Amino acid sequence: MDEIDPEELRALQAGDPSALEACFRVYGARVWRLALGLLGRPEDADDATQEVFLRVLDKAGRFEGRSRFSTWIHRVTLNHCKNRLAAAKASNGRAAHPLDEATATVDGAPGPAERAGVRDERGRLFELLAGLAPEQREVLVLRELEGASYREIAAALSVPVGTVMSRLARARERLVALGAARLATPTRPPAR
Amino acid sequence: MRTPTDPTSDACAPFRELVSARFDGEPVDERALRVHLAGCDACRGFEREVAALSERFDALRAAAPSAELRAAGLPRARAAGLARIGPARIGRFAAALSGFAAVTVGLLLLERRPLAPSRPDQPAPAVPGALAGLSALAEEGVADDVHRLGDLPERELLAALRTNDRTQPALPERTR
Repeated sequence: MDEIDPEELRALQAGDPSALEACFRVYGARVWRLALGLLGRPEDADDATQEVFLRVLDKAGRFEGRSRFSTWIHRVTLNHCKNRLAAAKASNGRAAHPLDEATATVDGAPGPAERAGVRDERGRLFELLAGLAPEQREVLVLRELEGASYREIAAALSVPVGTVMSRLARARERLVALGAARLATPTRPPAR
Repeated sequence: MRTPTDPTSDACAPFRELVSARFDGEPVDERALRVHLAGCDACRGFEREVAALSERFDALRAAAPSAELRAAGLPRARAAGLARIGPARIGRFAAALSGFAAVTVGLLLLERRPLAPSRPDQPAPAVPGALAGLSALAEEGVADDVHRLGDLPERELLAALRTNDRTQPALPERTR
């Protein structure tokens, strides 16, 4: 996993806005994918990515180098998305995560009643993710989208590695159950 | 024999964790897992499902931020970088810059036309908007910045400005 150049990191920590360019180049897509996986809507992921990088610029001075910078950015992104979801819930009383609406946004399906017929793979995946508990969704998205190791996920979430392991297994069990019930997913031989 | 997605097989939960972890390349107790898988259809099915689910994420792994975000992300971040300087400092700098511009314009106008009426029957000239702005800046306590930037005879200029009525219309056409 690529990391920012140490010189650029020092400049970022010194508050140099121009260092954000390098930071965005290295981590921008990853932050966006993570936000997309957690929030479910591309437009929300866009906003969250902008906000995360503003926060990175503001808080990078606090990064002490105890973990990889990507792990630190993952944590910032996770916390930001959690706050965003909590704020959305508090402001309009809707579900804790907007993934229920993701299908309509991503693949053009007009609403829940039509979801059974959605064709877009990404929309179906969002629908499956919506069935997970938030802590399960976090570990699964970090693992599947970012390829983070269990140790990195544990560091990003401040939980033991064993907790990551069990949450991932539970998340996959849940998705398997949901997938089998809704999508009639054809099974394939193990990839690895 | 258990079915692949049997949710009641709690005895298998620890082995499903091992299946999941092994799929992710994490170190596990291979021997114990092999022994269990040899006799458990449910966990062998789970192993296949985990791989299939992972393939589902290909669509998301391939997703990338829009060109709009890539283009807009950095300018907004840079704007935030300016914001970190602090609103007070930016405001003070802007006020000083405005004051400098106001003084420059004001002095040009003063040079071309005296503030006092040249004849008793002529009305007093109005304070030009820019000079009124300078007066307001002085009242807001930024005259020090104005003075430093312009190196101007501040006391005389401000005294002259305060004696004029700012509500009067703009400076009349210059008499030739």
